[in-house]
Amino acid sequence: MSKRFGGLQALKDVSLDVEVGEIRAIIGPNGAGKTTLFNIINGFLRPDSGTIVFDGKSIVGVRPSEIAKRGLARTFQIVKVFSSLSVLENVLAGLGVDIYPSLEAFQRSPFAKEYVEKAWKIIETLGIEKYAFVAAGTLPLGLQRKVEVARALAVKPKLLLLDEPVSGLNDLETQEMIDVVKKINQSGVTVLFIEHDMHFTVNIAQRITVLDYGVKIAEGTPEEITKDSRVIEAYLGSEEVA
Amino acid sequence: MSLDYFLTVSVFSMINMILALSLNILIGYAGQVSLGHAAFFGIGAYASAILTVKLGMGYWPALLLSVFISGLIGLLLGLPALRVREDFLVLATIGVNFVVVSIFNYVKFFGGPYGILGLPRPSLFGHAFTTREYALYVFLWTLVVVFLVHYLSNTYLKLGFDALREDEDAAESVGVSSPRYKMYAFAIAGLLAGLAGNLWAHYMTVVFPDNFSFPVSIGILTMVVIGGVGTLVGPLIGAIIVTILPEVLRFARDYRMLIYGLIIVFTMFFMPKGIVGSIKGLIFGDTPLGKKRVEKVRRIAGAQGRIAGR
Repeated sequence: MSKRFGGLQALKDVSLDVEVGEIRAIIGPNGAGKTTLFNIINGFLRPDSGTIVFDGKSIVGVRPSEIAKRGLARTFQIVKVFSSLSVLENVLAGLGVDIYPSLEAFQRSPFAKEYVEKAWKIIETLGIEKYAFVAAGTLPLGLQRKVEVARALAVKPKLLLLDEPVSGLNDLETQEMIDVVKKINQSGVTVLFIEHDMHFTVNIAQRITVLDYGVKIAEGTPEEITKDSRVIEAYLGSEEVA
Repeated sequence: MSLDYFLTVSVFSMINMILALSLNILIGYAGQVSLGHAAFFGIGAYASAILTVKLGMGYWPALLLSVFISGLIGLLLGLPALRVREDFLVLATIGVNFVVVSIFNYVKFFGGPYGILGLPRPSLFGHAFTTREYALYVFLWTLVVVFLVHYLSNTYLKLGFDALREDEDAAESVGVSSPRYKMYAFAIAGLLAGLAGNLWAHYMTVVFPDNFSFPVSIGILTMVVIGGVGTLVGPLIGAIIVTILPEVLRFARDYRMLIYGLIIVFTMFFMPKGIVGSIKGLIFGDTPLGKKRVEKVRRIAGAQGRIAGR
């Protein structure tokens, strides 16, 4: 697929094939088009050309809310929790994914037992029970990122997109996020994430795709990628020839 | 204070309560700031005036139809909200208010500046409502609206509105279609404001364009802001205050807009959550969930064999 913003070619003929059940990383320098790629996949942006097939069906031109319903959830690079709502409500909001488009939205209460129980399980998975009743916007960044993951999990995704899940987190929080993402993946959710943190990336990604200036320059296992000369060049600049 | 005077102030208070609850659904719930709410109020009033006076329809079918028309026009006038961002929506809704009042004023069919006179009072079994009965009738409708809004506040519809207000992108990412939920908000707000318009018009038995001008919109906004944006009780209290204030401050009647302005500025600076929001904050602390809900959740989570919360 390709995407152009005015004179900037944000993505050029990028092709990506994420397999069911894997953890895939997308890395690349700033401005490489990673977040644009995410925004196209989850429907915020329309590609200029190309197709996106999710779960056997094309999702080009489908509303983001409908894509979410089909089982694709995401988090945001700049956290977008529902700030004035409690953590619990953030998760409950995710559980409504099938309800919002139907008239059941006028009948069902998010505080019904079945939803609260489900939400609580997810909150426990993330280990944020302590903050369940606190306004999400008042929490520190590390916890807000967890709230976003919890909310995304509530959507019951088949594919989870994480946009820089550990950016701004300390070592401990990063380690916790590694454990959480592994746990999520083991429960059968395919994970596609963007990250600059190499410790995180190499630790959990089974395969890595590298973007640079909107072009895919490499793809492979963490070992292959860390040795790839084009990747090193993109990150560190080309070696001076004496 | 005569009984009639008391009844009139009560009827105005209750109609304002419906208007404030209606605007609160747009602003406080769905985050769609509208500064032209009097337009919907006017559409309900004029629709009913035309149906009963010009087309000779009975009150009850006119009630249904006028409320329906207001909801429908609310939906249509909400369409700009699907296209423009928040700050432009404010301007667009002000524009809508002026356009609607101009149409009432300049299109002959709507009676021009002399308005439409001689609206009937509703009647049941051949008996036309007296002023007292009409006040009771308005009271019943107010109860219905309060219960309706209270009911909706406990549904996924409300959580969808909350999500939309907090962050449109994040709302979409959990399955809330922003156009759909904006349309819901405008349609519900239009229906309720239309009902208020109908009740008002058949109480006054006359409608004039000026009754629905921009300052009226600001009045409704003041009720919501002073009472507490996004709360259920706040707009009710705000409606009473804003209705009674001009009665108490008779001498200041010409400065109504000045007083509204001062109230809004004062509230924004010193208690942005409004009266109800601030009191709740003082009593229960800064928790976004009500005490009852927290306890209910604790019970449910505890029943799973886990310990909830702090």
